[in-house]
Amino acid sequence: MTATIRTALLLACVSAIAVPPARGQGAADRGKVLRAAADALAMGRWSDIGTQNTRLPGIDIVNTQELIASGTTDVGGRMVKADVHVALGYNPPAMRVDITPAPEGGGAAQHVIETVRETWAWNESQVGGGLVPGKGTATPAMASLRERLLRLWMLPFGVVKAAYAAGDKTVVSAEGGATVITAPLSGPLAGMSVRATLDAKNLITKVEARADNPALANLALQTEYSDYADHAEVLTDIKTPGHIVGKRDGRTVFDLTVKSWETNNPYLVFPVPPNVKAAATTSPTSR
Amino acid sequence: MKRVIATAAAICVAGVVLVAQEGGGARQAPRATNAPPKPTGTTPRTPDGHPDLTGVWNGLGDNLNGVPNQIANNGIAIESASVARDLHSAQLVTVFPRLSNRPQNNEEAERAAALLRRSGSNRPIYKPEYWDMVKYNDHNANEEDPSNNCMPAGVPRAGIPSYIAQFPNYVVFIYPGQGGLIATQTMYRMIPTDGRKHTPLQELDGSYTGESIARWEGDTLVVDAWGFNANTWFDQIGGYMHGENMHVVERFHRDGNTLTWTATVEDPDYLLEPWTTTPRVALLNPNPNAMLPESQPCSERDLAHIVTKEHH
Amino acid sequence: MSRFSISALAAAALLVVLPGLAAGHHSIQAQFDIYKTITVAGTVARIEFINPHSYLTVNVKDADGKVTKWAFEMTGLAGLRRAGLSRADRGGLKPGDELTVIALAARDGSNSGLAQELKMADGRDFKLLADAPDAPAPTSR
Repeated sequence: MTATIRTALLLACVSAIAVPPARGQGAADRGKVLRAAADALAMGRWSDIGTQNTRLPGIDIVNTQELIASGTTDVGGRMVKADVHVALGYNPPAMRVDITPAPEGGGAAQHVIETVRETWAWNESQVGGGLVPGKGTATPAMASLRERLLRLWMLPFGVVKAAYAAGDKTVVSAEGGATVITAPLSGPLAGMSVRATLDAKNLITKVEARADNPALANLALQTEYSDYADHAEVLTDIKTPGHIVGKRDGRTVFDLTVKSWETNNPYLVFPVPPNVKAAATTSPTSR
Repeated sequence: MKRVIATAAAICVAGVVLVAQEGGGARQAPRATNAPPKPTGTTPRTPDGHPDLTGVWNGLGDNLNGVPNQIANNGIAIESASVARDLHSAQLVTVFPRLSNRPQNNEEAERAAALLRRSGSNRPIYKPEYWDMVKYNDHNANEEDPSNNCMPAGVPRAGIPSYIAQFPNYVVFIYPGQGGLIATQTMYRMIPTDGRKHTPLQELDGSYTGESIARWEGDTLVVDAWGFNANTWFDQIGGYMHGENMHVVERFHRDGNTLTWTATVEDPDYLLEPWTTTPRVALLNPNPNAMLPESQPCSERDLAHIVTKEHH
Repeated sequence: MSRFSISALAAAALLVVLPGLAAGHHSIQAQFDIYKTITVAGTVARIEFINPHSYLTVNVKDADGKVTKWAFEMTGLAGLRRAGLSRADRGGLKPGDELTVIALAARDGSNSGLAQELKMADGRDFKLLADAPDAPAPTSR
């Protein structure tokens, strides 16, 4: 170990931990609050198994999750009993919501599969429809792109991710004794922001999606989360809500009790069917 | 913030002291990132002009084991104390500095490791009819993983060989048995580079490492394999089963003391499209006189006693 | 007379800390209760350095003289060898050595555990907890 190498290493270390220029109290508060919210969910993790001489910081390990819930949901303007099966991912952002209303009058349950990924939205006649000829179809649903994407960013994990992604545009405030995080969204959801309220344990109990752009006012939604626990069979220590209630203008649009929520990045993929991609390039995207 | 800085400083100093204390031993320098190592040195060539891949390639550990390598294999590069990136999707990944030096217990370390090595975006796209099966394999990996019971890891799950010997007409790859993430026996491949063609697929019975032939494309060794049995998964994590028509093309490129490897898997029966691994970079063992030690023999005695589902 | 005892540890106890554990393919937590230790006395039958985990087999004799075998998993091969557990003539174990094993209990109640400490009758004490991140097996000779 030469003196040159030692000096170089020391310099590298010092620059790596260089104190950032003072940005005032706002940045420090925001950092602390976001970190507390992330830690409450156990989103940032590190592990030294077999690391030899490497020592890495923690990273956000939330990507895919699968949740199964039942309760009531608004289908075509009516609240009906339904089973809801959600597959989601954040890298890339995607979600597949399979809603199976309870059968009425002994008939077969009709289910609806609403999928979104990045800048495409479509409905599947069966899971994965439209990808293999003869095995179901996919129908473009671009008018629902924003509404479906918003679901991802209103989940507790989504809010924390959006808050980090928005950097210093994220605002942390105190309202009625509770800590509130407000973060603008981007991409197809530019013009919307999410506002999350934390409880005493820094868990997100309420999220409001607000339209900063009045043209998007119809997307406004409020969701309440409670009964946080590890609801997975493969335990990961990631906390997920056990009860989710969604409201639009005070009217309940879904009320779901979680049966299971797998969080160990299960195999869930959201390939965009070719006909959905083709339709998106030949017709204007939804407003 | 001050505590974070103090902690980081302590770690840095400890790292420097650790390196300073190493004698003439072959120990690797401490790393603060899992990003691929930068190459140093020149690439030796054989008399016929090709790069010489001969060497002991476990400078970063056999089979690129350990959580930092596994995170990199899954496509996430932690480039510094504040920047991490998914190399496949280009998405930035939020970094959370460690706020405490308290070591983790087994449960914390294992649960975190499992999440860390499977949070990347680069997943093979199966035909939808197999989605549930792959998910089931993964969820129940303790019972379903065909290579955690001392069977061979197969190709490309075995990754980069720890030893390569290059001769004018063939190369030999040796993969020590794994005991870190899965439990496998030692594997070897003897691969001709003499220009011979594959045996027609229907005439091969199917084996763990398949039938491989290799050729040079410029300075890259391209290894083409088929004739696999269906008794392996094709990556370390994920439950990625395959069929007997799987076809794997691996690319090996040496640059100085680094060896970059990718594998492309095609399986017309199971996959919607071919899948390519994130490039993995192995390092030459820093000891120029390194010999491969005996790989521990594998004897599976855990399976009957596994009670819950937590796994790699 | 029972030759083993079980003591429960508080969840916060860091006695079970095994930082940087080169854990086997199966989770330690799926097989062992990391919050519960057992103590078993017997004699060394065999020590094997194998994958995925090294094993120490111990013969345990009950009051009637009946012998049952206990299989203790050990991890951290590099640490074990540094602790002198490989060669018997270098301070390592040999068949017949009397010892007491302190281990994490098997979840399924079988005669096994994850060894944390080996207290030899002759006074030697092998602590199998690593203080430093545990390295995988050596990669060169």
